Amino acid sequence: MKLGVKMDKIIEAKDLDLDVTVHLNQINYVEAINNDVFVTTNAGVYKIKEKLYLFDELYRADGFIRVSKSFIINIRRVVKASSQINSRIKLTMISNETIYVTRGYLKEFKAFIRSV
Amino acid sequence: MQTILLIISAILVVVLINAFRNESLNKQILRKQKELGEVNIELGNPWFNTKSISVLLTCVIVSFIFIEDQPTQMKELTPEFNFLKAEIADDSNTYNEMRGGSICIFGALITYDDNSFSLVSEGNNEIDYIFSYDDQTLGYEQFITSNYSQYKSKQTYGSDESNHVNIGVYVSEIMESYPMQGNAIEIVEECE
Repeated sequence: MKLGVKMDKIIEAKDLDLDVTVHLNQINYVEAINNDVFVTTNAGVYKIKEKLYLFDELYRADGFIRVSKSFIINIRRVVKASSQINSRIKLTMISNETIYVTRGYLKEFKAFIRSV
Repeated sequence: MQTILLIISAILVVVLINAFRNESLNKQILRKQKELGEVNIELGNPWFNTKSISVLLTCVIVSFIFIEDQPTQMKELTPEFNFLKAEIADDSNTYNEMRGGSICIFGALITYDDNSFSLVSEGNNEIDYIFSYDDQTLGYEQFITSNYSQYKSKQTYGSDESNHVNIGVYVSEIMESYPMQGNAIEIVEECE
């Protein structure tokens, strides 16, 4: 459900060798694999040039928060969150994929969702 | 039954705490999503939320308290028992003069070889309570022992019928205080 009050930002990405633009609000999560960083939308996976830590810094105000060493999630694309016994939080994304908030990033994640 | 309810209560408490945490977590994400202009969070099944678990937990705890307050089977026996059969320790070195038999607590009839009886713990045959008839005082002496040789306290009861009733009451108190020892006591027949 879109409430549609914010301007949608776009980022440059690559789909194989083609340059594409991806709307920030379409990104479910950002994943670092080796030295490459990919954004995942419902439509596909695209490579971006930003580093993971930089993406986290640049787009936190847009709802992106780092949840583990390799993942940044778009909080807007979360459909369900549940606490686990091992202190982790299981996030179910709109694409039905599961991403965990690991212990090292838990404090920051909780502070992020509490902040308004 | 109490154990089962205790386990169910413990499980429900854990489930309830987890449900509270999840509900709080999802509400915070919902608030954040509203702020960002796109809401996708699902707040879960309303039939499995904290309120329904709380109601369930309350029911279990109330049941637990209700069952806790019910008298045990041993306590229910108290007004009925008239004859007690004393069980004798296997150790022949100790109180072997007290052979088996029955004693009438409420009536005048005392059927015991040496006018004494004992209550022993089940399993270890340790004599915990000894009632012995004293010819000098014409009463019953009650000894409480921690083992076969050491007396910790001694109490005398009269031999008249009313005091026999007192002994019966006292024995019933023992049964209530130490219900496991009640297993060593058998009601053998009605007292006439």
